[in-house]
Amino acid sequence: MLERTLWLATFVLLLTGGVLLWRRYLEQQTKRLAFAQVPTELAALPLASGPAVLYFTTATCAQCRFQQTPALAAVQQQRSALQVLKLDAVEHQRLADTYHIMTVPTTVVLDGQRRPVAINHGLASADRLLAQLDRASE
Amino acid sequence: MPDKATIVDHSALRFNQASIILFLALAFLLNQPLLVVFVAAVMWIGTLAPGAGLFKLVYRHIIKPLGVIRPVLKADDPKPHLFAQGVGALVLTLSIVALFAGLPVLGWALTGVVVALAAINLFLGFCMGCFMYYQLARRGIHANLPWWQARQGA
Repeated sequence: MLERTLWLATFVLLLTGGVLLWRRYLEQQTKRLAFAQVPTELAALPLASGPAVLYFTTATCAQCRFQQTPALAAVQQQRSALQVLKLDAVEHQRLADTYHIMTVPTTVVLDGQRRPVAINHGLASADRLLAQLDRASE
Repeated sequence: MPDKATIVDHSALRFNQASIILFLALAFLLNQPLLVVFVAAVMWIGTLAPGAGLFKLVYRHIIKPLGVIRPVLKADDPKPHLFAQGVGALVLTLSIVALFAGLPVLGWALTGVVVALAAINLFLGFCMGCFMYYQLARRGIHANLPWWQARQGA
């Protein structure tokens, strides 16, 4: 029993450590992208100046339709000037690869210079997006 | 309002995931493969007949009326959640085969995979079905399962 408890504790620690390390890696990846040149695919998109959100989705993503889209609508109600550009992650694969998109929904929060402030792999709540947009406006 | 929305109680989903994690952890601690069989049976029944899933029934008839957990009702599509549970049930079935075939390390490792995926879903809200679909689609494999039928308007 004691041996199995220790194994279980090790498993929990490894899982928690793995998640924390993964998040740290993703944060570093976003920072590297912020210092890189604006991708040509992004420059070609119809975006005006000011913060924006790239919203990567697919036609079959239920979590996008029922949770991420309403969350973004709630954000837009509070930030009427915010541009949200919905992109099919499979059709825009080069841009998706540039931002290392691994799932949908993924939201990329851009500042006025088109630098990524945050990349949310998976569902992002309205509160989380609003906090990231505050950082994008600083 | 999104199209074809169904109201899904997310507290029921979270209770289901937490129960799966708890019973599988107990199964490992007590070295009881029969508990894994029990959880796999609950998951298969919950996938094939969603209204009959034991953990969801416990939530609906005991936990919710007692007010232990408040319901969180959201417009959602239940199919991806059922798909994820089906994948978990399948992996757990492989785990049972390994456990009863005298391969305890492989069996418990597969149980650990189910626990890890349930925990990631419970604590991080990561959609495994969305991840799998996208990873297949970007490699040119367009899975076309009934619950992945293309619907526009994301």
